[in-house]
Amino acid sequence: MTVAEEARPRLEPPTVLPAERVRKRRRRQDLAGYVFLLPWFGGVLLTFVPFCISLYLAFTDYDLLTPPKFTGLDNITQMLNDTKLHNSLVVTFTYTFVSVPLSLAAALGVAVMLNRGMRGLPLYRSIYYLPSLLGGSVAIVMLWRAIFGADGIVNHVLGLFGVEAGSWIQNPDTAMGVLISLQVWTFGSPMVIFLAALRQVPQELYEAAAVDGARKWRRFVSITMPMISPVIFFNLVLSLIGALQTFTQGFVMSNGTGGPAGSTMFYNLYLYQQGFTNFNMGYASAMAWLLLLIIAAFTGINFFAQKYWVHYES
Amino acid sequence: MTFTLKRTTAAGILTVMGATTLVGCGIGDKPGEAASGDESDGSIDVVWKGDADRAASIQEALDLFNESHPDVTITTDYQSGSEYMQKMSIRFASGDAPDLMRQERETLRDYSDRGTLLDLNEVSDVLDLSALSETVRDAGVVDGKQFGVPGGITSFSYAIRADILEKYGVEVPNMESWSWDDLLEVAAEVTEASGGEVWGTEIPVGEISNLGIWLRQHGEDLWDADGNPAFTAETVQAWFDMYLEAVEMGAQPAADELDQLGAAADQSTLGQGLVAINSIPTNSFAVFNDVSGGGLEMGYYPGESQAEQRGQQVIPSLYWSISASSADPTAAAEVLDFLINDPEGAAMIGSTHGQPANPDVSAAMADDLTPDDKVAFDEILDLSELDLAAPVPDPAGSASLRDELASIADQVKFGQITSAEGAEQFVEVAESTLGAS
Amino acid sequence: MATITERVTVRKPHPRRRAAGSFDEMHVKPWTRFARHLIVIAIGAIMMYPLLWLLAASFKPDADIFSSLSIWPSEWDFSHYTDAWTALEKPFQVFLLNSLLLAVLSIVGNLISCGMAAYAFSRLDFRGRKFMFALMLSTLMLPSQVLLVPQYVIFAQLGWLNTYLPLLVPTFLATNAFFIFLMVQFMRALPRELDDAARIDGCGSFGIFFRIIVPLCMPAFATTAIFTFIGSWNEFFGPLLYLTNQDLYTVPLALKQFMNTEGQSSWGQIFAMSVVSLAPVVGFFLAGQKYLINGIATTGLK
Repeated sequence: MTVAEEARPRLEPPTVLPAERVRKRRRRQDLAGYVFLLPWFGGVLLTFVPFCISLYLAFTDYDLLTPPKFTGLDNITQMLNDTKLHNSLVVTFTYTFVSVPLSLAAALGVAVMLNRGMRGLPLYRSIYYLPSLLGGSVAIVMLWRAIFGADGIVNHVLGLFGVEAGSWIQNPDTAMGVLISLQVWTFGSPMVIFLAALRQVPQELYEAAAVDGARKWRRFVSITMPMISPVIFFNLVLSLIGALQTFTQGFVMSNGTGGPAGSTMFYNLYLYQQGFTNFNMGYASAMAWLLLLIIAAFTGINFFAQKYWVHYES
Repeated sequence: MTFTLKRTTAAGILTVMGATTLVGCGIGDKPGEAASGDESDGSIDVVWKGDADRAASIQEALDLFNESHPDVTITTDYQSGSEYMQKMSIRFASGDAPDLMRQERETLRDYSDRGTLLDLNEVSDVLDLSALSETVRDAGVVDGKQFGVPGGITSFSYAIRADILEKYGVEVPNMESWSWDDLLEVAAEVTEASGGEVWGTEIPVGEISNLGIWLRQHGEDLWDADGNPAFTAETVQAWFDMYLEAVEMGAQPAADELDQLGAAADQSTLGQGLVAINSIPTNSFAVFNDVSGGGLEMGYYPGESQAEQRGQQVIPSLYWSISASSADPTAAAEVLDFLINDPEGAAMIGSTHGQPANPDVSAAMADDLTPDDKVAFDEILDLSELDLAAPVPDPAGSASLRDELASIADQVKFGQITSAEGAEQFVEVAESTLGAS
Repeated sequence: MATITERVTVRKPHPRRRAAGSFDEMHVKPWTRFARHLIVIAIGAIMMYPLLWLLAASFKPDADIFSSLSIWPSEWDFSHYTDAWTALEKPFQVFLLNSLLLAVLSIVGNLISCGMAAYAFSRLDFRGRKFMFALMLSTLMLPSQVLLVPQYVIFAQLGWLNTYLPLLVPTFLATNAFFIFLMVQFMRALPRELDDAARIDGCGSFGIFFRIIVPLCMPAFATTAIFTFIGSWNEFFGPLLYLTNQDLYTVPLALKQFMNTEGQSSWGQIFAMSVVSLAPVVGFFLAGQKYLINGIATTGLK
């Protein structure tokens, strides 16, 4: 028996058991993964340690010049009673829920128009996209201040039509509108994404619908919209997150004051004021965390709602 | 699988917590216990607020200081806007405070009340403040301790574009004895005579220093020596009401009529000739006159001579302070002493900070002044000799009160609230922010 | 959406295949097409007007800036540029070079660290991958104010103040989730067969990364580079907080020093230097727009 076994050619070269081999390979793979992630791990430390510190600070009274004093839930109680904070939330939400739909609608509308295929498409696409690169810069916000000022271009143009108007940025009713217009001016970024998505919609679908007698608008609503809904979703989520965090535009436009009568007091601007002008860094940290929760909530709602209107190809 | 996930997560959390504790200990190190930033390496860090021109002047002065003190190395930094204070607070937070710095009127006590500034009496062997008048010196004193030295003195004055008034045939009022009613009347006249081309005036209703002048004229003030509010709602309401009246009379443009693109002279409504009468910082007369083509006249505030007490004040335009955690306060004090007392150094800084606080120094400069600067100089000298309320350092929290007034005034301007409501709100805000720390 | 299984480039449509949307195009009257062109041009003109006005204003004498609407100055005044260039303690090219240095280093950092992280997430399998990926994505939602002060204290403790380290080290530590995400999308689209083929040839994970993935991901890398450049060039608060030495200042900081409210600030100079600070951004955009727009389009789809 033994002689025969020894004579048989050995088919299994390894000297370890199969299960061990799997574990070894997995460990090697894990190692590879972790090695490639080493920089990222460093980044995590750099991000998460301050993250946790700021969470601690949110429950303290910290004026930057003396050590933080733990105050428990005081900041939270204060937030509940702070009318300026509530006002800043109103301002931020107004800005977000007006400018985001407007700019996405503009983006989609122009994308649809451009998608018809026209000469010079790359040129138009670039022209529309360029503003979105510059929109967040200090120089552009200053420019908008000049444009909408009492003596700015807008009023000059209106003057040509015989319409007299005051300074749009000094008036609490219109100051926010100026900032919204700045945001809409930067619709180029989502537009480019929509354009790419529209191109991916198979022509056959339209043909089939036309054969069935569907009119243009119907085709848009029933074919185009569902097919690009994942892209709409993506743009929506990112734009919301961005708009809720607006700071520079409000700061530069109002010179850090929150605009005429608090009309441009964005949440982040108020946070900044609390932290640096009023020496309430603990309160500001609490505000920052509240913003994080709000953003997470909105994002969560969006992700939850997507199953109702976002159509994914399998 | 789950076990290892839990293990990695747990390890991760522990690491983060450990690191957090280590760093958390670093936050808010008491001044004096701070880590690396304050080792004495023979260099002094000087920071101030201003633009490139001012920076050039101050740098010149510092270079001159270095000629006689070659062993002191000076590093500098400056910002031109609100980010100056933001950066300063963060530097203090991390134990990296500058040695010698500019403090604003409204932030001095925010810093000194929290023990972060040095009592300059401790370096009085090097820093000689005896030449300064008592009023000026005391402007930086809180509870008997000297936390700041005025880097320059100035005031607010009213200025009239006499050239514009002449052009439209309006008589220039006597600025020694005019009243607020006089102001409104003349302003309305100008608006009418120019057919609306030029507005008479702009009441600086949302600007807290001007409100202060008004309050003092009525026997009150923004705050008392203890830092508590010292005014009534009625007086504030009267201030708002005057603004509304001015608008109605046509003496002043409606709220969104004109833009304030910046406080700089060439951007001001006065400088551009959009408004004929306005308040300006006294030491900026030269700049404003230059932009106005030379037709500017400067004088007292309206209502000064009729009031029970004069409202104007000679105030520090800024303070110089030394950090309590400075590694080398003696050297910093030497630099400060030079900036305050050395005639040559002061000449280099010129009038960018206002009139030098040391009267001997400013007298020495007087001969070299341009005619316009002389006008400002004489005006401040004149004000210094009047019986005016002595300035006290703004109490802690006054910076936010400043913003609040602007916001409330905006609401009144645009009719969102009545003047009475605005006054009530302002009283409430003052009570909660002032002296609260 | 359908996964992208082909290399993403903007291809001219095959002559026989109709262009996207062209189904409707065939049935449209000429005047509608004309009207549409008109609208598109009009919108484009409105979009560009503020920028052209800015450019023109930088060449107008101060008095003319707000008085005329035209984008062609009636009087050409170059003094804004020359005055502003030397108005600060250092001539402006110092700031331009500083910003350039920071931008280039940031690009290198982002490409290396985000590329490595993206490769790990998209191509390698290791314990905790899903959890870490979710963690990475969640940092997109983090408002920067949350980290501002604590991070400053950390850097102060490390002694990195007044250096470029606080600005650059994060780029070498893959802290930018957007770029990681972008690259992950790209890498996922590459066929796995390439990996397997390389493995059979004896390539390890590193070899695959360097020899196969990186060359194929050039569009994503280009996009990352361009976005990093723009972001770094425009960054204000980071440099504000960490730099105290004028020699190290970047363009946005220098620009802010013009906006002093106490001295005499000239709009002409502000605009001139704004043009100078925006020009590289525009330049980069024009040079790399193909990659930029492709890169964005790819992230959006999926």
